[in-house]
Amino acid sequence: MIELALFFSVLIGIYAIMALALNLQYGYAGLLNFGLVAFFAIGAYASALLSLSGVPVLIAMAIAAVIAAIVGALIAIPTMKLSVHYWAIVTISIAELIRVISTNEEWLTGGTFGLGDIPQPLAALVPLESYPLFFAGFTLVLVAACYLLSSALVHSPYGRVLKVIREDEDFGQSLGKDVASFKLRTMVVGAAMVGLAGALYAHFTTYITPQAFEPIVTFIIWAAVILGGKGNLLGSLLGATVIVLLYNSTRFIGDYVELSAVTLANIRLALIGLLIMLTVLLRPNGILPERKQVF
Amino acid sequence: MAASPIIDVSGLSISFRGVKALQDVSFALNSGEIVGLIGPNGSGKTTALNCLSGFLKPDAGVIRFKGEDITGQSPAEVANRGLMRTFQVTKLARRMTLIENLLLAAQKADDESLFATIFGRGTFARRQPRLLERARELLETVKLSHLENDYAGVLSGGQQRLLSIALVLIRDPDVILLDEPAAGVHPDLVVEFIAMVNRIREERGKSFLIIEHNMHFISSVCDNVVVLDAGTNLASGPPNVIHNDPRVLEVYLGTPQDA
Repeated sequence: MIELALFFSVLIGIYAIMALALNLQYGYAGLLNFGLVAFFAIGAYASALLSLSGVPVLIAMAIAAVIAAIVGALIAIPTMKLSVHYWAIVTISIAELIRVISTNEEWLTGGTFGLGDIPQPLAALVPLESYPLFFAGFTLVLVAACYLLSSALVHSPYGRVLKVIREDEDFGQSLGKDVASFKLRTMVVGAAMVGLAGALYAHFTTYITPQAFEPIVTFIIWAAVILGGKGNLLGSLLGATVIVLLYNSTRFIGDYVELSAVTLANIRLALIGLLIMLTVLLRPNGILPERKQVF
Repeated sequence: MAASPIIDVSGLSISFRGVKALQDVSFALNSGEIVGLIGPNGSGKTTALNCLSGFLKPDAGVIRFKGEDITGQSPAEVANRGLMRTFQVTKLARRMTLIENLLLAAQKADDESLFATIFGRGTFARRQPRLLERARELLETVKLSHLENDYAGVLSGGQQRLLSIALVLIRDPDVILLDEPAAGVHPDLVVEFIAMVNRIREERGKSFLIIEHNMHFISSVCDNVVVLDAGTNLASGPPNVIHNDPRVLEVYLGTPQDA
């Protein structure tokens, strides 16, 4: 039971980091990033490959986050002039592109068989029986770091510029804000956080395949932010917790009811969809709505 | 030699898919002067203002601000040089409070860098009380103090226009471009606007370029008026002269019989 709780807390932590990143991009800056899973995959593969080639795991994770950030910048630079909705479509296609590459470039990613035996951080130093507890603590530290970083960003002059991008870009420009550069920076910071979550995921499961990087990941992160409340960082933590628990606990419905695997998978998704519909109808701003900043 | 104008527009031309919105338009604004830009709908007033503020790149012509060529610079660059504008349909950050809007306007690029945000938070925190004080002063000026912690989206149209002027003022620009500040505003408020513009010019020496259809507004504040018609210069001169210019009467103000 403890094992299961620790397993879930790591999974929640991974999604919480990604929900914080999306909240920065969407909740504050209004950027419709439907390609989050691309950076999740890049972080996971980069950290896995680096650590498998002998780079210490913690360093591999840091480099993976940087690689994800660089890819984020490379994507953002040519596309930032696009209007919101066109940009959203670009992000979807990039995520699919990354998944197709990870499936087909066997020499690099192991193709559909994926990468196994991914080393775990500080595995030699921590006793095996307490390793799950250690990993949960490690995840918690990373979530806390990402939360503090996000909080510092949004409660600052930088955060106000993010909000003006969401509210009215022309208005921001008329006040002398170089809007495109702020979008780029926010894309980079978010990509780094999602890349870090991907790295964490790779070292947690020790085995990754392209199936782990389907668009459903992006969908779950969006569900977490919408449910928790856009523009509220605590909401992202709450939303990630609820959605991850719901999505993974419904796995066990099959133990009680006779269902085909496909039906079960669809029901689990439908439940998330239902929850999102209820949220939008009953609490359109999420469980924890954006709070007014009062001076 | 007379001081060179703070804004000098010459030969400005732009067309949209063959429609010539501006053709060889020229005008100038001296420091401390208030110039009105008038003309019938579709005469190119807002297009000219969009070119000046960097929102449109003219096909031809040169815009000089404080002697420097700023033609084709981005809106943010132009604003940071000290040439700021308001919009005909007021633009604000609606889901930010009035104070937040003002802080957003007041903060500088250095405050907004990622590095400063993560490692240099103290710098802005030290300046913040002074900016807040300045923001509250300006809210006082535009009579919106009681709403400082409300979202800007709840303001009425007239209040939004007042706030948009405060937002420009907090950055202390040299020239302010106003696009129809009196449109849809209650007559009493228009009187206040006129008083405010005159006071800002006297106290702070700002220059204004004002697009306006309200001729009372124009004649109460403007030193000079530039009249555009169908994207070309029609006339320019002091308001009382423009008022009696037969060409202007014909295309815009209407002949005395009509009035």
